[in-house]
Amino acid sequence: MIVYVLLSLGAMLLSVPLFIVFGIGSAAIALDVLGLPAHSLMQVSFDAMTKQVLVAIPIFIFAGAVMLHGGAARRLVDFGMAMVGHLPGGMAVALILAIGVFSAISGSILASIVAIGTVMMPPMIRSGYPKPFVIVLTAAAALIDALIPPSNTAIIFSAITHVPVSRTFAAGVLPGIVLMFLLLAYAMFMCRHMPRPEKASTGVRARALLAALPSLIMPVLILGGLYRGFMTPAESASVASVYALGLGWFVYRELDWKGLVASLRATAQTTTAIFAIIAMAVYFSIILTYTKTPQAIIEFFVQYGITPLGFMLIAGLVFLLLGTFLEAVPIYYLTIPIFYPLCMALKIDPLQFYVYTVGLIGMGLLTPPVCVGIYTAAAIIREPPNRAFRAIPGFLAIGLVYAAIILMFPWLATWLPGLM
Amino acid sequence: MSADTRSDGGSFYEAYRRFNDILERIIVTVACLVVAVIVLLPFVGVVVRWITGEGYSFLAETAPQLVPWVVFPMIGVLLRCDGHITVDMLPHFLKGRSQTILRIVVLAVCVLACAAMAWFGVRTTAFFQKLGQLSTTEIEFPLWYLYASYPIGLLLAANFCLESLIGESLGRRPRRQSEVL
Repeated sequence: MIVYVLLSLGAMLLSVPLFIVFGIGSAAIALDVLGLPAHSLMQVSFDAMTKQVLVAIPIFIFAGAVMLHGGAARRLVDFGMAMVGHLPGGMAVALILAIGVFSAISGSILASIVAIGTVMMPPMIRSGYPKPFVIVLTAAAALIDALIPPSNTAIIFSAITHVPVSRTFAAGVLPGIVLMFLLLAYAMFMCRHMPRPEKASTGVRARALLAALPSLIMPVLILGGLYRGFMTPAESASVASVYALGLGWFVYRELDWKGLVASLRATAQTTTAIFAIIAMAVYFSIILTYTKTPQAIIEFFVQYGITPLGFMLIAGLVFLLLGTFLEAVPIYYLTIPIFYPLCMALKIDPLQFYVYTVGLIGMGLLTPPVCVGIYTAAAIIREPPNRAFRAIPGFLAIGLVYAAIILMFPWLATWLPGLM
Repeated sequence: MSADTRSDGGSFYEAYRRFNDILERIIVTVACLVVAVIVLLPFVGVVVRWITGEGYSFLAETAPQLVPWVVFPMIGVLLRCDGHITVDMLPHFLKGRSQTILRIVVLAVCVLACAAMAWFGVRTTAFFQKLGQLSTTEIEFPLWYLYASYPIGLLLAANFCLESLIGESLGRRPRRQSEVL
């Protein structure tokens, strides 16, 4: 087994696609070492991919892509600028708020970076905001997307743990707002000397609100149907997609056939990147089940009398390190089968564990060498990503403050779901 | 290697690449259509429930069953444009020739892995076909219809990887941007 593990690690470091590493490595162990029948692997793989809850992921990705091509992002940015542009660091504040609202429409972090970043980053740089700061700020603000529902990460966590998606979605709301306020405070402090426009008149604000209103209704549509029990996550995503199509086509009139095809193509590609990992990473769960690894780890922790806080700190470190190299989907599929039973054994609320770890994994989007968030934001303004690295430490500190807050105040994650 | 051989290899590669371009267009078109169906089916389910007051399970069940038919055929398309999730740490440290060698090694691993998985998929799908197992959905269908997406997709992926491997070895592989969000 060790040979297969080492070969898999070697392939991973060589940058072989992760679905191949998981597929070949785990299948070799399952078939050769554990002697499992090949057809059981196929069945498990397809069962994982065709879970009812997971189908919401491609549909939310499509809704986000349509909003990206349909002109919603520009209106949200205009609205943000009209409302808060005159504050210290006004453009940075508007960017964070626009991403916060876009997060409630789209389930994809990178879609939020592209949608709002494309509109907001160039004028920020023209106004004198330092490029590294703008790049990292955009990538960091998009972490709000992982918390504010709908979130693909929440859907994946629910699919693995069987915690209802509506509860996982609700758990992310307050922590998402906390993260947004932390980022707002930091941006306002860092950009306090930046030039800012005059306060917008009431007329300008009203016009901006009116233009953005149809987009602002969308989160109500998504979450309303879900929490009133009218719709499943997939159905609310589907209704949101049709609404986004109507909005882009008939109201904003910025969506055309080209945009629609681009949205479908981006959805097909993103879905493939996520689900290829899901299909293969579940083999790893089979290995854990057969080798009883989670039970052995629980026994180890119980034997050494580890406290819930000690466990959360260890788990936090693991997620922080893994986040530096991997993305949320493979991390959750690799770790949750081990950590979730431990959470249960130590009586830690899984929702607190979710919002805590999702923040730490999200920080991985900012940490080199594999920092997809920064690569994406830097590509928008055609800047080499490594030039942005010097702006990272401040935002990492915010991430750690966020994690500490979640550790100290678990009710931030559990209060809203508790009301349901 | 003589200039003629190089030119033969090059023209073979160009023809192979053009063939795969057409294949990719077909796969992407089908995937886009399937995505459109996945997006719209739950909406239709909501509308039908709202109008008739009755829900139809097949409207909710069909969308997830279609996902493998988007994912597996598209795996090769994503491999062609380096769109899959990787730990791409090493490529950032390497430059020039060593980066090309790394790409060739990775693509060779991908060809072998996809071919092995496709072979595994063919055997398993044939097993399920013989078994005659049916789905547990409202509209019953043989499960192997679903499982067939695996060998077909990975065979296509092995083909796309082989083309990329040849192109990389000849120094003619076009660099393309994936559209993964």
